[in-house]
Amino acid sequence: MKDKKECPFTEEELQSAAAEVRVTMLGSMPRPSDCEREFSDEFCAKMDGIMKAERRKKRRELLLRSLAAVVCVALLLWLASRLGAA
Amino acid sequence: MLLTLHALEDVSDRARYQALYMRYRGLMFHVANGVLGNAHDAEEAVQEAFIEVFQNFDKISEIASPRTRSLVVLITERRAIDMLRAKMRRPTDELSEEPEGVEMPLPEGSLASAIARLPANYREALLLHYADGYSLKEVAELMGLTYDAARKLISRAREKLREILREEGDDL
Repeated sequence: MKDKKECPFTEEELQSAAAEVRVTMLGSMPRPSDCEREFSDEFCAKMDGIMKAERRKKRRELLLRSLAAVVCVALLLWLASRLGAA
Repeated sequence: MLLTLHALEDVSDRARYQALYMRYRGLMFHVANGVLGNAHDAEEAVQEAFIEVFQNFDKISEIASPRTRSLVVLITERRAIDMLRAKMRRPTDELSEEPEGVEMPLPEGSLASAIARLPANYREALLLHYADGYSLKEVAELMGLTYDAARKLISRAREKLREILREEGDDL
């Protein structure tokens, strides 16, 4: 589908060209296994800290979401029991 | 039971974080070093890029896939370019040229070569959306933008593409 303002390319052409660019970009790079490197101890220690912090953050978010769901269900059950009693 | 589920999830998450880190850290360093030309700065850019990748971990379904490889390359490239720009603003550094991202050899005059010639942030948005299939909302989250800003960025990228193609048409 062409754009209203005489766009010289369609959505499909854009998708196909973007895919071509991605293939070329990744093809111009070494494979992950071919660019292994000895990282400094400082780098590895910082990365350990980053991974731990990010996991902790995710865990906290998940726990909060789970607790919110439990509270909602409890509230609904309580409301239902009140309505049933009335 | 909740705590057990969390513990199980934590173990599997830890393994996935570690797998992603071990698989891509070398490639990410290669990308960052290509932009920055300095191993120390490149390591810093890789760390920042990893933070961004981990924050978007829920968007990664398969670690060893072209989609994930493309994602980590694009994020690292952007972080490295941001660092280079910040350095260029410092008067003590002797950097004068505009920072460029990953070089891509593509035939002149094609739509693909026009995409490759786009500024890195335009190119990143288009590749994430059109090549990797991320929704506008996901592109916004991946690039740290609002939904509207991501929509405008893609619209501007398309406009810039038109300009490039028009210029190339005039040159031919």
